[in-house]
Parts: sequence; C-alpha cells; structure tokens
Amino acid sequence: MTRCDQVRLLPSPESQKKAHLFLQKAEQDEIVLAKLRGDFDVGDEILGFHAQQAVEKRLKSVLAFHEIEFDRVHSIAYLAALLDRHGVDLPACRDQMEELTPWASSARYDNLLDGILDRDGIEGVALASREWAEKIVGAMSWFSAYANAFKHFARYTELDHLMLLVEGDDEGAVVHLTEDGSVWVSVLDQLAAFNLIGVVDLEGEPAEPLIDLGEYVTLETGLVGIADSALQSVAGRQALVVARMADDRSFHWAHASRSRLTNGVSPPDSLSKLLLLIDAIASEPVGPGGFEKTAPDVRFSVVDGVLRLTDLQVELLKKQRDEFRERFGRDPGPTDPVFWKRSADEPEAMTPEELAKEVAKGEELGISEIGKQLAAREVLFEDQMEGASEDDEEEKQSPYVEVNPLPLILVLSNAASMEGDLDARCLVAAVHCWMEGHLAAEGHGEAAETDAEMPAPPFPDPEADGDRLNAIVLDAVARFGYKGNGIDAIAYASAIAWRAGLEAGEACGGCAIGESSGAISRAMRRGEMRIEFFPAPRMASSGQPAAE
Amino acid sequence: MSTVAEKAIIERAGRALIKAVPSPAKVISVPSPGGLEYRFVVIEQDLPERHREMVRLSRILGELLIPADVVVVSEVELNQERFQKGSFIHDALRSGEVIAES
Repeated sequence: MTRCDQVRLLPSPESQKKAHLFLQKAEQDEIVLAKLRGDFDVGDEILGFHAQQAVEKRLKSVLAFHEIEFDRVHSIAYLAALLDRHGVDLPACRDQMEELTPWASSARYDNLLDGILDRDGIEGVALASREWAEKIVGAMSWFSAYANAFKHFARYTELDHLMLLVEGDDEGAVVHLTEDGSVWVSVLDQLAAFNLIGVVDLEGEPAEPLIDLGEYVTLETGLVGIADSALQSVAGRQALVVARMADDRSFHWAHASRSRLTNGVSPPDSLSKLLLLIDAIASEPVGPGGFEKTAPDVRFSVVDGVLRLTDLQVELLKKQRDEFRERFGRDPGPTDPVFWKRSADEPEAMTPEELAKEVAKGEELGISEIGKQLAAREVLFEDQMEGASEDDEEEKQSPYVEVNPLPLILVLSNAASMEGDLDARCLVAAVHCWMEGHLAAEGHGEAAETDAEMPAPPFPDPEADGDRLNAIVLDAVARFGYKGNGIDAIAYASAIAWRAGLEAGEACGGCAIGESSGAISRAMRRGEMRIEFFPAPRMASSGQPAAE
Repeated sequence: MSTVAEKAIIERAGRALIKAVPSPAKVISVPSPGGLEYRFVVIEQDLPERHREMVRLSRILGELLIPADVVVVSEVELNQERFQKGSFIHDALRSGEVIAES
C-alpha cells in the first residue's frame, strides 16, 4: 500500500542549509565512533557521547528541514516526540536512539552515569539514523531544487499551478507548487508504474491542495488513481498532467479542463481513460536497442468544460465522502458516485433525473444550499456532455490553454543537466525558450521548414535581440547565482526568455526554422509525440535490459 | 529569572516526574547554563539502574514536549556529595529549587 507520509511546506534555503549542516556535523561524530568503537582503551562515555550526538544532530537536521522549531536540548526522546507530533515517521530503532540520551550528559554530571554501552549496537543505530535523515533531507533537497525551478517557470510563464509526482528507487513525492509561491510535498514510499505526474493549473485561484492525497493514493489504484487524486487537489481548475513512465522514461501529458472531483461522473474521454491508455502503452515491453513505440501516439487533449468549486462545495464533498465511509465502511473509489442512492446497499449513482429530484426536494432531504449548487452543477455537467456548449468554446479561448509546457520543461531539463558555467547554461536555456515562446504565439503553432541561415526567428536574432538576451541571462545569474545548482537561474532565464520570445512571435509576420527541428519538434509541440528525457537503457540481445 | 510560561512548564514537569517515581522522592529544577533547556534532578531512595531510569523519565518529559535534561541520583549519592564543593550535586542543591516532593 502506498501511503502519504506527510504534506508540508518545502523548507526555505536557510532551513535546508541548517539541515545539511547538522548532517555534516553528525557525520563527524560517526567517523569518531567508527574509528574508536573497537578500541577498548576508549571509555563508553566517549563513544556513547558521540553516538548520542550523531543521533541528536540527525534528528535536529530533520527538524530543521521540516522547519519545526526546537529547543537546544540533548533529549532524544524530546526531539523524537517533536517529530512524531508533526507527523514525521521515525526510524524503527527509536527506542535504542532514546536510550543514548544519558550519554550526552555524563561529562557534565561528574560521570554519575553507570550504563554500559552496547558497542555493537550503536553502529546499527547510527547507521539507521543516518539513512533515515539523509533519505529525508537529501531526497527532499533534490526535489526542492527542481521545485524551485518549476516554481519560477510557472510564475513567469503564468502557469499558475504545477504539481509533480517524482519517483526515486523506492520512494516518491508529490510536489505542489502554488501560485502564491508556497510549495507542498507529500512523500510516498512506493509508486506504481510511473515516476512523474505534473499537473499544471492553467488558470484559477491559488491552488492549495484541497484533499489530503494520502487518503486516496494506493498502489492498487496505480497511475489512474494517483492522477485522479492529483487532479482532486486542483479540483475545478484547468490542468495539464505530465506523466513520466518508469519503465521507458517517456513523457506523456494530458490537458484536462475538468477534474473528476472525488468520484464524479466520468466523461467518456476522461482523463482517467487517457491515463489508462498511457498505462497500457507503458506496460508494453521496450524493444531491443532502445525505445520503440508500441502503441499509436495519442494526443491527450480533453476540453470538456469546467466545474469550479467554492470552499463550501469542497466541504460538501468531504461531507459526502465521510458519509460514504460511514455507510459503506470504506473509502470511495474512483468509480464511486459522489451522490449515491441512499436506499441502495451498494454505492449506486443517482441518475441526473434522480439528482434533479433530490435537489428539488432541497432541505427536506438534508441537502443544503451548497449541495443544491453542487448537484445542479453535476446535472449541468451531464447536460454539457451531451454536446459542447458555448461555455466550452469560451473556455478554449483562455489565453494559456494552448501553452504546452513540455518543450519548456525539456529545455529546462537539458540546461539543468548541462556541464559548463552558469552563464552558458542560462544562455542555452534562454535561447531555446525564446524560440518556444515565439512558436507559442498565435499563428506559430508550427514552425515552417526553411533553409534560412540560423540563427533566425523564431530563435532570437543576435543583433536585434542580443542585448535583451544578455540582460536576461545577467539578471538571472545576478538574482539567483548557483542556488539550487543553478537551476533557479536557468528556470528564471528560461521563463523570461519565453515571454520575450512570445512577444517577438506576436509581432512576427512569419518565420522559419531549420530542417533539423522538423517533424519531431512539431509533433512534440502539438502533443503528438513521446519525449525521451534520458538515454535508452543498454539492452542485451535478448531484448531484456543488460545486466550490470 | 523564569517567565510565567517557564514556571508553568517547570511545575508541569515536576508533577509528571514525581508521579512517575516511587515515593519518597524529590524533583529539583536546576538552572541550565545559558538557559538553553530545562534541567531536573530527581532524587530517589533506591536507584538500581540509573541509566534506564534516566531514559524512562526523559521519555515522560519528551512526550510532554518539555525540552529537558533529567539526571537521577540516589539518596546515598546525594548525602555523599551534597557538601563536596564543585560537585554537580552540591551545585544543583545550591542553585536549584525543589519543585516537587513525595
């Protein structure tokens, strides 16, 4: 069962620095411990002190990382209880860790202590505390660097909300980036068949997660369930989902302008269905020699109306969920209805007609005003599904609906992993994002084939645009420096350049691009092609991945 | 000088500790260097396993989220060291305050 360990704000750079400092200091204690553990001329109080210090500092590292205030104290029990109280899982050896507390004080208290140190045991305790702390602080720092990058990216491209699901070897995290700049993370200890889902909210209010993902994310529900849960957290907003499959590392994306809420009526071409398709594609074996398309490319584009939720409506949804649990003794699943027949033994959705009748009965049935509104919307949505309404057309006119962030993410990813100094990396990112911005302008959905000498529009012109481009790069480097391994600066430069390119594109009467960026780039920009972000795994002649 | 909030925490700790140890016992609150944390000395009549007892009492305060150092001494040790200038027990008795007793 995959579960959500916590939802919390990502730490500030200062807190991350403090957390890493504690980790480094703990490492020093462990080095002393490792060197002296076998030397029986060294007393227990010395080894016990360093073992306690290593554990204490690692607990403080995680506390600092989670931005939990703590007193300067040696009590492992206090530090552990503080973490526990904030919902942070502790290592299995918590008891043994707490037993180290008295060793911190032995020198201060005239060696009053009479304990005998378990010299063999402390190594395991120290190791467990190290693995635990580094897993949290180390892994989260990695997420944090990318989170910051995407935050800038989202801000300057005016994509309001970005949510990523990132998988490590045996863990993952959901990173929510919101319009107001706050970042939320849910840590998952297992993931199924994919390793990244991003939900980019293309419009709407600040997108604070509305529902605790941990209540919904299960291994059994897999990709569809998690994507569904992800969308629930930005319920009612336009969103773009990016999924990276674990097995072939390809990226897929879907645009959805209506999330499914907890378990609402699922349109025939719903996001879930598309994600099922992704799941099916990804589960196909990868052929020898690299990636092979095993299913037709699919453009995942769904524009099926928008269902907006107010806070009160969200409350109602939660109430319906609680009642569902009480009535049926389990959590509602992706296919369960929000409004179910109260007389039925199993969850059974009301028909639109029944729902309309319920609404008409109103207070008599205990459906509040909020419920009426929500139910009415559900009926309205059903009506909309009968045929595209004028409202749908209006939604399509949203200025950011057509922004396809995947090429930008591709540029960002490449520049972030490049060798070289930061100026050069920012410049590469800025030039390419300028081009993407240019191509995103109206009428530039596809670049034309040309033999024109490069660089030429849609790339920035070295003479006409060079000063602006340089200013973008210099500004990015000056603002962010090497923070986050330079990713912040690269993201900032990319985003600003994208905007500049968009302006250039809007003023452009027609432009060209070289042969080298022909069909593949166009397909990618149209959302018709999978993108490979990483080299293909080495394959043995059998077609199976080569053993190391 | 303890603030009202600090006094409340100290009293709470005293109550928790005295309740957790066999009677007769005393809990002394000792000022900590730099005021970084709370320090308590618990005096118990019999103390067969000091380390284990310190861990146990630290857990009790930890669960109450009281950031404290707990030292446990026996009555015998107290009587041996109480007049020995410079010893921890001597200093604790001189600068500390009995906050709970059973």
